Amino acid sequence: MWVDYGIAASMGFAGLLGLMQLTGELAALSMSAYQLTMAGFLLDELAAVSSWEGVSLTSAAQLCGPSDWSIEALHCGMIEAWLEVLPQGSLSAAADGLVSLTWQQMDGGLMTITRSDASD
Amino acid sequence: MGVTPTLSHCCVGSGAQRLSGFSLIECLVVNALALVLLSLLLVASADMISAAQKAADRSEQAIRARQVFDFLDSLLKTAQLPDTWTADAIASEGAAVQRNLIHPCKEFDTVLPQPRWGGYAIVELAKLSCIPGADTGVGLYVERVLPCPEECGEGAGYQIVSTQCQLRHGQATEEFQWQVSWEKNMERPHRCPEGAAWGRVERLLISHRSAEDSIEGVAVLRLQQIAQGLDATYRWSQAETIVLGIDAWQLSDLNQFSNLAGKETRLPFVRSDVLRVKVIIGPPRTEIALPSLAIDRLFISDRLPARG
Repeated sequence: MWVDYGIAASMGFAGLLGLMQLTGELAALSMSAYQLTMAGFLLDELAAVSSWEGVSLTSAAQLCGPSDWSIEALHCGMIEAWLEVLPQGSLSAAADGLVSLTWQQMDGGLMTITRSDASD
Repeated sequence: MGVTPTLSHCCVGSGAQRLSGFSLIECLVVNALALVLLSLLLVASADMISAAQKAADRSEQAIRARQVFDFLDSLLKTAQLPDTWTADAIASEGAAVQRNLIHPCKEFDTVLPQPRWGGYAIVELAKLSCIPGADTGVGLYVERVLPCPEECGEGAGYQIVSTQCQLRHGQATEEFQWQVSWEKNMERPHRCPEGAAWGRVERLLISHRSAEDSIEGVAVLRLQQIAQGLDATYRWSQAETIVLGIDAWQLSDLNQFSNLAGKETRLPFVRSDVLRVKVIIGPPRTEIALPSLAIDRLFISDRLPARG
């Protein structure tokens, strides 16, 4: 009877834990999709701002990055708001003309997407 | 005589089995513990399921916004003459380009040739008597040009050709203008020389209808197109739904006043170059308390001279 009881209880717990695990994975997947969409909006907005202000994409990224908000050199539109949606989101510009947007995902891993003037 | 030992064996064995089982108290304690654990797990999983549903709904809101903006992107990118058609003309036009659009209620056939076609403008729906089911508020009127034969498809519609197609053999003109007329199909115009560009012009109107006004009870973003009716008149079609669940949308033209310098009264449908679109997407399910998601996007015409 102990064995039967133990087997039944462990099966029940395993099922519930599996359900919780699956639910967590689904939540993480939905959150990743949301963050990825927001990141896309941010880069689209950055491309529009760079076009509107007549500066390159990398210059716009440098001027609208979090360290330079106090300067207010550009009207950065919704970029700041989108960046706040992304956990530890940061915008960086590389010398080769690439703009990188990096943020932390729910599992702790870092996600990076890049864009260049040409790929607009 | 032989029964007694058997009974005795039976009762002794039964007593031994009872000794090796659980008492009532033990069973109750175990069951209570199991119930506590089970309820803890159920509460935790209910919380997780609720969090997962919220995350899924948030993601769906963002994806709806993406649908709206991707659609607008694809429309507005073609709301001008293709670059290959205007490579020579743009440089000479400079800032003197007339920046008005044809009124949405006016037919193209009556319009003289123009150097530029395509564009978009914010319109007040209440003022457009030609559009069926138009609500109050603002809409986005888009005039787009699709080059043929690659992108324009088949079927009747407005065809755009260069005015050079109307010149007789040997004639030449320096002025590069485009004429639009309704044609039954989009085949190459016979009168045009080899290599001449032609295309389709589409006229579209995007508008919003609130949940209170719609039959379905859901706020929607809608699209209407112009087509020729049976009696050879041009009519705006009935609206078709593009995206569901858009609670509100706002359009603002960022350079209307800076670029036009008082020409608004002369040009009622002014082509816009910088447009800010804000959409507010409601929660997909009302039973989950989720705030609406507001998203702004800036749309810049490719032909806009940079400010910097």
